[in-house]
Order: sequence, then C-alpha cells, then structure tokens
Amino acid sequence: MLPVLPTSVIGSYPRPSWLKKAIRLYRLGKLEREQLEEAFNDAVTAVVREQEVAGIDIPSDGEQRRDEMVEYFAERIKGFKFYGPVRVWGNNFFNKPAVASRLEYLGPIVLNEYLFLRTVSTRPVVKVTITGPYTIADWSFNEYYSSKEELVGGLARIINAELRNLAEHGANFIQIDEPALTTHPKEMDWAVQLINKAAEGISAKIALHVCYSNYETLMPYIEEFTNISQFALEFANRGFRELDILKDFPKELGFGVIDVHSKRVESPQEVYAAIKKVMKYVPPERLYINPDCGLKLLPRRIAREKLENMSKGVLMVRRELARRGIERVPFKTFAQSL
Amino acid sequence: MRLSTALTGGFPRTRRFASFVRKYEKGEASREELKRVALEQILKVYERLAGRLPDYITDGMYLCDDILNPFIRDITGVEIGGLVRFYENNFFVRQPVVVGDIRLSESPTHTLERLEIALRLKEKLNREVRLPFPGPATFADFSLITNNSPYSTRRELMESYIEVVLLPLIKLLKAEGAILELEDPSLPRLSNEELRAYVEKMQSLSKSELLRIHLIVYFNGVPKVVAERLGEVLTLGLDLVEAPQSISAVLGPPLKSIQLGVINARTTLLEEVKPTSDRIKSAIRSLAGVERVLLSTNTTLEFLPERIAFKKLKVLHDVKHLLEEW
Repeated sequence: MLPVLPTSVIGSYPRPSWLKKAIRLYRLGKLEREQLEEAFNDAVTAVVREQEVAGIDIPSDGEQRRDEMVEYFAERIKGFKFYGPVRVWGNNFFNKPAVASRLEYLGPIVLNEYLFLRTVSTRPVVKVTITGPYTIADWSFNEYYSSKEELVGGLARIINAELRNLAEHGANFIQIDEPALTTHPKEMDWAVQLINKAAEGISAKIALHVCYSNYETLMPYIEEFTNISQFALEFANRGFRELDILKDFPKELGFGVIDVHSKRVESPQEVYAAIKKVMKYVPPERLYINPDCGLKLLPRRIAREKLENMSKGVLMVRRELARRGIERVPFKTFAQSL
Repeated sequence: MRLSTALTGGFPRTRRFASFVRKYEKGEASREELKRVALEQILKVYERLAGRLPDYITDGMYLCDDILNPFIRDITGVEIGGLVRFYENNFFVRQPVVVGDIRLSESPTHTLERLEIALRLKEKLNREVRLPFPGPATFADFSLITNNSPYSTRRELMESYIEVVLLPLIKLLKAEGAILELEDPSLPRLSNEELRAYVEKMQSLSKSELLRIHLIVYFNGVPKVVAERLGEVLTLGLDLVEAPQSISAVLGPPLKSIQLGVINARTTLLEEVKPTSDRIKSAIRSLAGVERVLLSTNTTLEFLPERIAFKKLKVLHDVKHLLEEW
C-alpha cells in the first residue's frame, strides 16, 4: 500500500557539483573509472536521500549516470554513431545519435542502475526510467533503416529485452519516456502498437511519460496502450489548461504539478489548488503526483525546494481526503491489475 | 539569371560559444562580452567556410534561443510563456503570451544587438546580410492570446503584427542595409480568409520595403495566393526537400527572385551534387522570367550538428559551382 496521491519524480535530478567535477576529471583522464563509479554511487545515494527527505514516496536514482536520455541508450546499443551536439531549446544541447547500421541489443543498459537504487532507497517502490523506442528513433538521424517504423520496431525489441531483464530482477515500477510520441500524428497508429510491443510480457507496472506534447492527439489512443497502466503527463508548464481532456481518463495519471523549466518555486498552495482541479476529472485513487518532467536542468537547491513544496501541497490534499476515509491506495503492478 | 547561395536561419552554436552562454547565464560574463564572443565565434565559422561562404549570410542567430525568443522581448504587450514544440522537431521555442496591444518597442534592444553583429559581418566579409525573424503567420500561430489582449483571433493578431511590429522592423533594417528574412513556416496553416488578410496587409507595405523581405516557408508548400500576389516583389523561399510540390505554386506568377531550399537540413545524409543540381535545373527551367535564384538549405542548419552543417554548406557550394557551368 502507498499513501493516497503517491508522490514521485519523472526521473532526472540535478547532479551534485562534485559529481560534475568528477566527470570532468574523468574525461580529462585524471580520474579512474572505478573512482567515477564510486562518485556516481555516492551521488545516487545523496539524491535519493534528498528526494526521500523532501517527501517523495517513489524516488528514482536521479539518472545521475546519464548525460542525456537518448544519448545514454544510443551509446549502449550497437549501430549508433555520433556527429556532435544539436540544440533542443535555449542553450541546451544533446548529442543526437545517428543510426548507421542494424541495431543490436548488447546486454543490460540500466539494470545496474536499478539494482544500486534498490540498495539505497528506503522506499518499498522505486521508479526506473527508460527512454522509449519511438523517442529514441525520432531524436536520432536515420541513415540505415528504410523506414522510421522499421527503426522503431527494431528499438522496441531491444527495449523489451531490457524491460524483461529489469522485471526479472525485481523492478516493479518502470517508466517509459516518450516525449516525442505525439510529434507526428500520422505515425500514432503504429507507434502505439510498437510501444505495446516494447512493454509486452512485463509484469511490472509500466508508466508512459509524455511531455510538451499535443495531448489532444494522445487522448484517443489511451485505451489502446494495452500494456501501460499509468500516464505521467505535464500540466504545470501549460498553466493547467486543457485539464478537461482528462474527462473519463481510464488509467492512472501521474499528474505534473511542477514546472521544471522555471526557477520559481511553486508554493504548496499552488500544488494543492492544481490537485484539487485535476480531481474533478480523475479520482484520487488513480492519481500520482510528480513534476512535469525531469528536474536535471534546475539548480539543485531549487529542485529540492520544488519537491518539498510539492509534497507539502500533496499533504494538504491528503488531510482532506483522510476526512473522507481515503488514506492509502494499493500499489498494483501490471500483472496484479489484470 | 543570377545564381547565389544563401544561409537560411541560424548556424549551430560552436561549443565555445555555448559554453560562454552558460557562463553568461550564471552571471559570470557581461552582455557586452557575450556580444563580443558571439561576433567572434560566428566570424570564425564563416572564415572557416572561406571560398564556400554563401553569398547571403545571417547573424547565425547566435544571440537567439529560437526564432521567437528573444525577439518577442522587443515587442510590448507580449510576455514569455512556456516551451512549445517547434513543429515536429525535437526543438522547443518559448511561446509568446499576448497580454495587451502589441508593438515593436521604441528601443528594441535584442534586435539592435543582432543588427550590430550583422553589420559587422557585412563589413568584414563583404556579403549581403539577412536577419531572420518570425513571419506574421508563425508569430500568430505560436502565440497564446489571453483574455487581457485586444485580439480575439489569430487573424487580428497577425494583421497587427504586420502593421506595428513588422513595418517598424523593416524600416530599421532597411535603413542599415540589412535584409529581413521572414521565416514563416506556419503560412500554409492559415485558412483562406486568413491568407487573404495576410496578403492584403503585406501589400500595404511599400514596394521598396517588400523588396527587402525574403519570405521563407519551410516544411510545407507555399500557398499559391502568396506567390501570385507577393512573389513579384519580395523574394519567396520554397522548401523543395520536404514540399517539392511547392514549385507548382510559383509556376505562372511573375517572379523576380526566388529561394530554392534544396539541401535537407534535417538529415545527416549528405546530398549528391549531380542529382541535386539536376533537380534544380529542372525547377529553374520551369521558372520563366525569374531574375535571381538563391540556393539554400530547406530550413535552418540548427537541426544539425555543427560538422554536418559545414558539410551541407560545402555541398551547396559545389551544387552552385556545377550549375554555373551549365
């Protein structure tokens, strides 16, 4: 069981400054791989603790080992190459990969991240994030496959192998990140089927995170995601407009209440008001509360304060729900929800 | 017919400049230093291109986050909103939030900074300089019109943008000898009624003002009415990579100057010179009477890594070279 309105994160969390320094030193050849691994482990320990102290029920490892969400996976799948960084917004870049040959699964990608996270978190449930096949394809240059659908199909098989590995080792909450999903509405039909393929046969709870996207394009497909239990969506960035699209929402909702692209720290009252608003459409028993997206681009202090206020806002709603006798909700994996 | 090459939009920021921007954002460098490094870095890029430097260059948009920001900071009545996706790209722009009457600020700081860089480039490199700004349809399409604003429709906002933002902007650039590159990929999204209003409002600009406008449409085709009614005066830019059918919109109308986007700026695969030049020949043959053809990428090179952007400009140069022998 979890407290009602379980709080979670989307995934990334700012790296401690000393970790950034360790990475720089490693890249300059002034630090051994083993020392860097130790720094990564210490950073995960620190940021998991930070999330838990801030009141997060379901922490992640803050993606401390990942520079970027597509690049990290592309570096670990055979067939990708890199030409250099490409801008995403403002002064933020990512090393956009190119698919230069047939893609092959080389073995576990994030399994060790999960196993380490499990050893340092005190929470019964932790979240593991994995970039989805559609987004990896959409954010890559395709120089090899004859169609994007074929490329996404190849990636779906690889992601499925990784998810199976995670579930076999005990991961019970995995989030597939698909921010690119609604980018090409004409591709939605096959994209949904291939995401289902990626999540096929997995007993863990699978969430799908879609952000900065056209939710009107997404909504008609929600029930077609047969292997997905939860949708983690961004609403703070859009000023909580469009909440009416959640009417009759049939799955769990991970409700984004924190704008990760603004350094202004939302007050607990704002979070409270946003949750009250969304509860007009989605019952509290099916609501999880999280920031809009990963927090990595924020200063660490701001990220922590945002999570603290998010938790405080949730507590305000929980107190009201307790008066109605709603205090805890069961955590159901995909297999348990069938 | 004169044949030239042109850079469209920005050029990928160099690592050195991106790292300097981070320093600036942390408050560790001044605005003056940022401007100096922006000029120094884009100049280095252009110097590296040497003989392959396009005939028309831009400021590289080094001081811009995207086509809208920071320009929208120079427009009163507009606030900076959240991030919204720029068409189907993994690229996000700041949404203009329209909260009042819009107009170009009397002292458009960001525009003046870019103009200063453009003029220095023009002087040093002896090239025509274009400054990219959002076209009226794109500005209106991406804007969030709030209840506090006097505009109730996209059309009203677009018309006002042409009248009180674009007009003073073109006057400012014209006075300094710079060309206004209007990037308007949302133009094909307009309804027929909006298109008519767009054309009529643009026609209210003087001929000498229109002559200084390069209206670039990418990702989609140019509406025929725009080519018919504006193509005779301004330079119209087509995306022949992703919207090859757009050539049909310009068959017939008497065009003086046209830009053909023939190199794909959204893929790392490099075009072959001969087939590309053959395609251009075929397009040019169908354009009777056109006096000037600019060859360019279909859209900004900022969707590519820097090293591929250089290679694309090399292909563009080689294509032009081959066509000159034609």
